[in-house]
Amino acid sequence: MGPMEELVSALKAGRPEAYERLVREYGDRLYRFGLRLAGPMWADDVAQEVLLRVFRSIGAYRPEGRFEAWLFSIANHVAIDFARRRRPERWSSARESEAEEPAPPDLLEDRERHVALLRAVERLPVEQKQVFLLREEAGLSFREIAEMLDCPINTALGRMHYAMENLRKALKAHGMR
Amino acid sequence: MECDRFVEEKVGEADSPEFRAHREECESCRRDLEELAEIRTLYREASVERYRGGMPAPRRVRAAWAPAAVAAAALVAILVSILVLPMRPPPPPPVPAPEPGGTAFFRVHVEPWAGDERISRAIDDTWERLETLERSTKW
Repeated sequence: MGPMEELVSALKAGRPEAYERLVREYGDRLYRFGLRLAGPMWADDVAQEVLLRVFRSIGAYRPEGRFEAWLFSIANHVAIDFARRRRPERWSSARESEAEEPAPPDLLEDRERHVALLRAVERLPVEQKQVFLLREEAGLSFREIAEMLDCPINTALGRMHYAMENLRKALKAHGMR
Repeated sequence: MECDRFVEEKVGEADSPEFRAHREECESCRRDLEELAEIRTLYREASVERYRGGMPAPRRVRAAWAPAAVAAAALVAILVSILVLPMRPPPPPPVPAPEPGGTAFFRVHVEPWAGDERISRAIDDTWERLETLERSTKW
């Protein structure tokens, strides 16, 4: 039995240490997934809601695919649900005001490039952002992403392609070589 | 991307002999690969926020219809108390203690239209009175 099967088995048995391990191994990634997809106001709520849903429905989990694919399909639903609830005017106006003042390219250090990239990720259209995050944050394959989003694999690849193009343009505007 | 070929290989990080041969000749694809790798590396360096919430305590699931069900149950209880309680028979007159060695008679008040619950209650009352009588009487 591999480590993931052990974790799932311990979760199904309701062992408290299994939930601690779940939080330790996936809490940060779930939080960041919620942060980028639903915004800072909801990131904690998204992570907590996903953990609660795992707690409630682990009995129904069947190991047909990877545990991460199941976990992040829950995260995707929860984050999209929270994203719909948020007030778009507050969220977008905050980001607009920040985006109006890009740092001069010659002063751009790594940290500023990181901030610029994260802002560019936040500004991606939601379909592109979903695919980007499911790939880069959750580590899913494009086949898993396509199944989760119920679209052809070429559609998932196309969205990733446009996401990368948008990020590249944004970074070039901030001095990426 | 200047070169639109092999998008799956570039974006999806897939490998194929055709793409390996192509990128040897295509400077644009090599540049695409470098830039995409740089974006991925930069994202991994940048995406470092930590979750500090811990494992939430499971909440009791509260169905949306629960408050309405509680209100309905309360209403039914009130109606039952209004309709049933006045029909309860008056308490039976106290039974005089029998003479030692005598016989005690009890009358069980049961209306013919009474439901199971009221018949059962009447029998229980009778047993209770009999036990009280036994405790208070020296035979």
